[in-house]
Amino acid sequence: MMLRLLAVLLLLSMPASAAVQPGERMADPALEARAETLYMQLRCVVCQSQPIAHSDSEIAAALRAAVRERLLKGDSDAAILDYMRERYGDAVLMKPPMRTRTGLLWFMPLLALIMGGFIVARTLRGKPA
Amino acid sequence: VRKNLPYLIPFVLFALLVVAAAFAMIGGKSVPANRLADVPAFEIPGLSGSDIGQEAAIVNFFASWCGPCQGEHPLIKQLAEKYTVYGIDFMDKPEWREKYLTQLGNPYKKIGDDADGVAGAAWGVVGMPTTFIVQDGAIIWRIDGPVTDEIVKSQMLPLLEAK
Repeated sequence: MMLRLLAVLLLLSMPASAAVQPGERMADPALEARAETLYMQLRCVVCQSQPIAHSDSEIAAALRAAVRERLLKGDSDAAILDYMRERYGDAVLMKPPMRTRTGLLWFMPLLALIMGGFIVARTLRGKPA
Repeated sequence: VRKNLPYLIPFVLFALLVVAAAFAMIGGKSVPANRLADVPAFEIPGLSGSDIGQEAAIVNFFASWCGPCQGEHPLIKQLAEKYTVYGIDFMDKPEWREKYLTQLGNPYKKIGDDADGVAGAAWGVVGMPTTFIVQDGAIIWRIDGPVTDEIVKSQMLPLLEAK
């Protein structure tokens, strides 16, 4: 019983998609750990909302290879994310940075809420008049 | 009318959003000869960034497994009769490339073997084929997807002919 439960738990703990191939593992465990974190922070540019860690597409594999190449060259994590952003734009980052250009998108919900509240307040207050 | 003014605010905001989106789209893709980026540093078997000289040249990413690459190959060959074309074979196998180029002809001055795709990433490639025009150490034009007769005539030749 215990064994069966363990087997089920083990199965459940397996990642749903394991796109990173065994051959991609880096020899240095510290670099491998950084690589895996970076794979999760970079979006597969031809997929929808999927980090390169989870994609089997050629481009995702190419970006993972590039991450490893930069790590071996001694780049910092931030430098690697910058390297990718220079080439693929903000969209390559799973968490795109906020900029003046995109500020409207970020604040739109808040603005809409304030406007909505304003309108509701006005309508309610306006009733007696 | 004044009382209805607040109701207009969401519409005004929406219009602003549309304008902002339009600007973002126009800013993102421009065809004329600007410096899009520096020619990236890369080094793969057969080709590196330092091989690419100052005069105008074409850099063509291709792969034997890519159908549209075969489709544009005759045009690449035509361009190679007059201009320098470098090829970068993206995530391919040497024996596949051999077969592909034996069958279709080899228009490339030099071919880089980008087996794991690092050069593709360095150039910001998202799919096959992708073609660049470079000059004076800069990328001045790119197209994602196959070139066509029309694109060669209207976009590439004017840039390649210009001094």
